[in-house]
Amino acid sequence: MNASHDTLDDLISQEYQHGFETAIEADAIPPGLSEETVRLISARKNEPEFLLQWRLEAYRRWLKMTPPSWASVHHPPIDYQDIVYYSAPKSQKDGPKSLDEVDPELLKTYEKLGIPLHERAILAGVAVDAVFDSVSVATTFKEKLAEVGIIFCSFSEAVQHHPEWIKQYLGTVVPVQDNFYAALNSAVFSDGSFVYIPPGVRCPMELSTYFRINAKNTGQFERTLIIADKGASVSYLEGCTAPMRDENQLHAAVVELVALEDANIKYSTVQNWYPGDKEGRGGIYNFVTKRGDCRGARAKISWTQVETGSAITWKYPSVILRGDDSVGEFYSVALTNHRQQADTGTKMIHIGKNTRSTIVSKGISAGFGHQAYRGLVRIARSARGARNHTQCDSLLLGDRCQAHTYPYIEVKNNSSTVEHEASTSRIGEDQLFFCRQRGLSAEDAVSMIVNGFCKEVFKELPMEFAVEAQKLLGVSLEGSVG
Amino acid sequence: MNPYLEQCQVERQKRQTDPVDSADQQRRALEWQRFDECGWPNTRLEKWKYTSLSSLEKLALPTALVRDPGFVMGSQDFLRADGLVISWVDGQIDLENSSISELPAGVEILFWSTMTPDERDKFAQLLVQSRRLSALGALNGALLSEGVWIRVSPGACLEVPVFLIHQTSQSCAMHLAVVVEMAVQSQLTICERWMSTRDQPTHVNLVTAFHLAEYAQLTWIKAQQGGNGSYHTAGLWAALLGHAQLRLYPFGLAGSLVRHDIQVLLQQPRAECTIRGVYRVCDREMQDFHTSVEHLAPHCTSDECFKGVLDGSGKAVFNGQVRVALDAQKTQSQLANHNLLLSEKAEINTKPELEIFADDVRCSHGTTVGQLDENQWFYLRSRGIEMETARHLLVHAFTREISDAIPHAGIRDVMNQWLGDDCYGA
Amino acid sequence: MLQIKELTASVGDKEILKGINLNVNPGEIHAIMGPNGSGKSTLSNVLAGRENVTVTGGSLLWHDKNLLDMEIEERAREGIFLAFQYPVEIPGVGNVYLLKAALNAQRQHRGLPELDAMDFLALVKEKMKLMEMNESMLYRAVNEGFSGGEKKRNEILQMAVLEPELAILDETDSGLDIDALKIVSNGVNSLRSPTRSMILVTHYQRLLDYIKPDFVHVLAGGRIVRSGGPELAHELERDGYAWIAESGAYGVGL
Repeated sequence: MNASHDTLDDLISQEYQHGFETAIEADAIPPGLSEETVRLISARKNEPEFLLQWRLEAYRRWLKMTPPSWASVHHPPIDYQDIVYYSAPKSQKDGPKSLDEVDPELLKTYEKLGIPLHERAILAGVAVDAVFDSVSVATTFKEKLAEVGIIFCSFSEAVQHHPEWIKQYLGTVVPVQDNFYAALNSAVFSDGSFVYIPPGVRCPMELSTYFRINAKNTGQFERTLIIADKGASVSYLEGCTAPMRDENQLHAAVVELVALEDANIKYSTVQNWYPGDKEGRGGIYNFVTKRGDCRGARAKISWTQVETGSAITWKYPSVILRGDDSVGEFYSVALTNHRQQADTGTKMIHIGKNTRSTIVSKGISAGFGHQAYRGLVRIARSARGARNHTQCDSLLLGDRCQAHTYPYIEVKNNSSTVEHEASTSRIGEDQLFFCRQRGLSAEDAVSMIVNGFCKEVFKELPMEFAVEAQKLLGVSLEGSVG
Repeated sequence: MNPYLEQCQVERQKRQTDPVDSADQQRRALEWQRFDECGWPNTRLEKWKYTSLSSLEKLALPTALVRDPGFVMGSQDFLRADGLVISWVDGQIDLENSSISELPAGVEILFWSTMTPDERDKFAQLLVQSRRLSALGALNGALLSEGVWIRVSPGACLEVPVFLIHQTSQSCAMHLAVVVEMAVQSQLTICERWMSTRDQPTHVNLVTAFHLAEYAQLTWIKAQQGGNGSYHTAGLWAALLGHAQLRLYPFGLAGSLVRHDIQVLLQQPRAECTIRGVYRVCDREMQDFHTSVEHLAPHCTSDECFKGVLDGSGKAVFNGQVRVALDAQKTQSQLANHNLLLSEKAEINTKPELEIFADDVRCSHGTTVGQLDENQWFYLRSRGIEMETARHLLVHAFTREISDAIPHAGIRDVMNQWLGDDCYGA
Repeated sequence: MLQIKELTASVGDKEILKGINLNVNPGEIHAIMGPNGSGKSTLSNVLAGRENVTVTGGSLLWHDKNLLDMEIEERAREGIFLAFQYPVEIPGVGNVYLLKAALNAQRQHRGLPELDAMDFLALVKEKMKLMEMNESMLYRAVNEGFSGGEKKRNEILQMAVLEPELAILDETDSGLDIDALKIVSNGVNSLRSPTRSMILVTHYQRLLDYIKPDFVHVLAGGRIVRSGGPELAHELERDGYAWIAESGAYGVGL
C-alpha cells in the first residue's frame, strides 16, 4: 500500500498553483479595529447614514461577543488589531469605466488564475464580478443582464444605486449578532457582490465572482446578497484563491440568499484559498457564514461547495425552509491534507409544510488533515410532511488524519421523515488492486476512486466548475467518454 | 442552591457524623468538592443541551432508611428463569426476598454496607471512571447509600443470571453503585429491573462499572420501568481487555426522566461490544441515552442499535458516539438509531457521532426518524384488525427486534412481553 | 512464455504455496483444480502481483522477464489479465471510463496511439454483444449493483477489450447459473487463439465442460500434486479430492 500512499501524497501535495503575488499599489488604511475604522470604511465608500449605523451596531455587538469554541479546529488567537480592514487597488479609486480601463496587471492576475475575463465572459457566457482584496474591480456583462432587469454589481455599487434593496434585505438572513465572525463582517465588510433577479426572470447566464486576497495582512470581509424575486432563478458561482504567505490571513465573508415564491437559487463555490505549507505555516482562515432563506412557497436554494483550500475552514451554508414546499440542498466535497482543518456542514431548518432537504457531504482526509462534518436538521412542529435525507461519507487516506461526524437531528413533528446515513472508510485496497490489474497506474487509480467517491457532488456543479474541481482534487480525468 | 441540593447537603451532614470509616469520609468530601466544581447540570452544557433537570431540582428527596410499613412487594413471578436474586427496596438490600445465601462456585457478592474499609477503598477505585461520566457521578460518590460488588473468578461460567430487582416504597433518593469484575474467561448474565410502582417522586442516581479481563463475557439487561415522578440517572462505564465480549441491553420503558451515560472502552485487541437498546416515552416522559464506545486498540468491533418509540408529549434524546483512537486500525463499528414518532407533540433529538483518528477502519452510522409504515397499517386494518390494535402490533414488532437479540430465553420472553404492554399500563 | 519455478509464497505468517512448477506456452489452456484452501487463489494473486502475498522463493518469468520485479499495473500492461473471483465495486466510477482508461494505458505502454471516443465505443459495443450485455451497463458504476452473473460477464468483457496474452480466470464459474455460464464460456472460447494462453482456476469440473483445457493440474497443500490431460478433470469429478488426503499428498514431507 505504500506505493499508493506515496503517489497519493504526491497527488494532493501539489504545489499551490495560485501562490503568486501581484505588484499593484494598494490604497489601504492602517491595521486595527475601532469605531473609527468602521466610520472610515463607511466614509471611503460614501455610504448612506443607515448603513453606517448598521455597521456601528454590529461593531458594538461584536465587542461583546467571543469567538466560537465548539468547532473542532485549533488555531492561536487572532489579533484583530493586527488586520488591515480595508485595502483597494489604487488605480481603482476612480473606478474603471470599462474592462479596458482595468489595470492590466490585475487582468494578468486573473489570467494566471485561469479566468481570462474577456474570453471567459464571451466563451462561457459567464458574467464575472471579480473581487480583489476588498473591492470589486470589474463586472462584465452588466449591460446584457440589465436588459432583462437583472442587477449584478459590486456591493458598493448597489449601496449607491439601489440602497432600497440593501435597506430591505441586508442582515435579514444573517443578523448582525448571528455569530462572532458575521458580526465582525457586518461591521467592516468592504465589498462583495449584489444580485437581484426580477420576478419571473431566469438569469440567462451563470453569474460568477472570483475572490482573491493579494495584499499582506489583509482580512477579506466581503458581503454577498442575492435576491431572487418570485419565480426567478439564478445560478451563481464563486471561486477563491490567495497568494502564499507565512502568516495566516482571515477571510470572514457573509453570504445572504433570499428566494421568494417559486424562486430558485443555486450557489456553487470552489474554494482554493492558500492552505498553508506542509507544516501548517500560513494559509487562510476561512470563517464564513452563508445562509439562504426560502421565504416563499416552492422556493429552492441549493448550495454546492468544493473546499480544497484554506488552513482552516469554518463554514455551514444553511437553508431556512420557511415557505411551504420549499427545497434546500447541500452538496459538499471537502479535502483536508497536511495540517489543514475543516469544520464544515450545513443547517436545514424546516419550518414550512412539506419542505424537503437533501444533504450529501463527502470528506476526504489525508496527511495530518483534520475534518469534521457538523450538521443540523431541525424539523419544527409546524413543518408537517417535512423530509430530509442526509448522506455523509468520509474517505481516509493516511493514518494520521482525522474524520469526525457530528450530525444534530431535532424532530418535533410526527409526519416528517428524516434519514441520515454516514460511513467512514479507508480507500479500498481491493479497488486499488483491481484498477491496477487493469493496467492503471496507482495514482490514476486513486484519483479515479476519489473522483468516483465525489461524483454525487460534482454532478451538481456547473460544467466548467466541475472540471476545475476535479483538477483541484489532483484528478486528471480525460474528457468523459460517450 | 436548589431544593434538591439543599436536601443533599442535609444528607451529607448526616453522613459526616458517622465516624466509622474516615477514609470513606475523606473520599466523600473530595467527591462533593468535585461535584461543586462541575456544578448542577444545565442545558447550556452540550451534554445536557436537550435535557433539563429543572423538575428534579425542585424536589427535596431524603434518603430512606426505613421502609414504608404499608409497602407490599411487587410480584416477582416474571422470574420464570432460575437465578440469583438480589432484591432491593428504597435502595436498601432486602435479604429476605433475595436468594443469595448459597452462591455457586466462582462468584462472590459483597455489599457496600458490610464491606471493610479496605474493600470500600478498592470498590471506590473501581468506580472512579464511572463517576467521571457526569456531575451526578460525583454526587453519587459524595452520597453513596449502598452498593454491590460482584466478582467472578477465572474461568467461572454462571449458568443462571443474577437479578437485581429494585422497588421503592416511598418518596426518596438513592445513590447506588454496582461493580462487576469479570476475571479471565468468566461468563455472566446480569438482569436489572427498576420499578417504582407508586406514583411518588423518587430519584435513583446510579453508577456502574464493568471490568472485563481477557476472554470474559458479560451480558447485561436492564429494564427501567419507573412510575410517574420517577427520576433515574445512571452512569455506566465498562473496560474490556483482549477478546472480551460485552453485550448491553438497556430498555428504557417508562419513567418521568431517565438519563443514561454509557461509556465502553475497548482497551485491547479483539474486544467486542454489542449494544441493543430501546427507549419508549409517552406523555411528559423523557428518556436520554448518551453512549460512547471508544476503540482504543486494533481489531475491535462494536455494534450498537437503539430504537425509540415516542408517543404523547414524550421526548427522547439519543447521542451515540463512536471514537476510534489513533492506531486502532481494523476497527469495525456500526451505529444505528431508529425512531418512531407517533404523536404530534412527541420530540426526538438524535446525534450519532463519529470521531475517527485512524485510517484503516470501517465505520458507519444510520439514523431514521419516521412513522409507522402506512402500507403495513393499512394492510392489517384491511384484514379487519382494529386501528389501535394494528398500531400496537406494529410498534411492538418495531421494538421486538431489539429484545429478540437477548441471548437468555427466559429474560427475552419477559422483555418481549413488557414491550408488548402499553406504556401507560403494567 | 510463462515459467513458474519452485515458487513459494506466504500470506501473513502462513506459507501457502510450497513450490509450484508450471510452464505455459502460447495458445495453451491450463486448468488448475484443487480443494478449498489449496492455494489456487493465492497463485492467481501472485501472478497478478497482489501486495498482501509475499513471494518467499522460486522464480516467475514472463517472456524471460522477471515478473516479480514488475508492479501490478506493469504486469497488466504486459498482457497479464486476472478475472477476479469477487470483482470489486467502485462507486461513482463509470464502467466505460475504467475500460477506456485501462485500454489506453495499455496502448500507451505498447507505443500505440490512444483510441478516440468513437473508435473506442464501437469496439466496446461489439464486445458487449458477444457477452450479451445491455449497453446501459457501460454507464453504470463499475460493478455497483451488478448481479453475480453480471459481474463475471463484465470481467470477461474487460478481458475481450484488453485482449491479454495470458488470462487467469479465478473461479469464474462460481455463482453462475447455467445460462450465464454458457455466455461466459462462449465469450472466453471466442477469445481463444494460438497466441493467447489461459489459466482456469476452478474447484469444479463444470466449467471445463464448456472451456476445454489442454492440461489439468491438481493443486493441493500448496503444490501441484498431479498433472494430466482433460481426463484428469473427469476423474476428479468422479472421485472428488479425498484421494489427495489419503495419498498423503498434503503436507511438507513429500
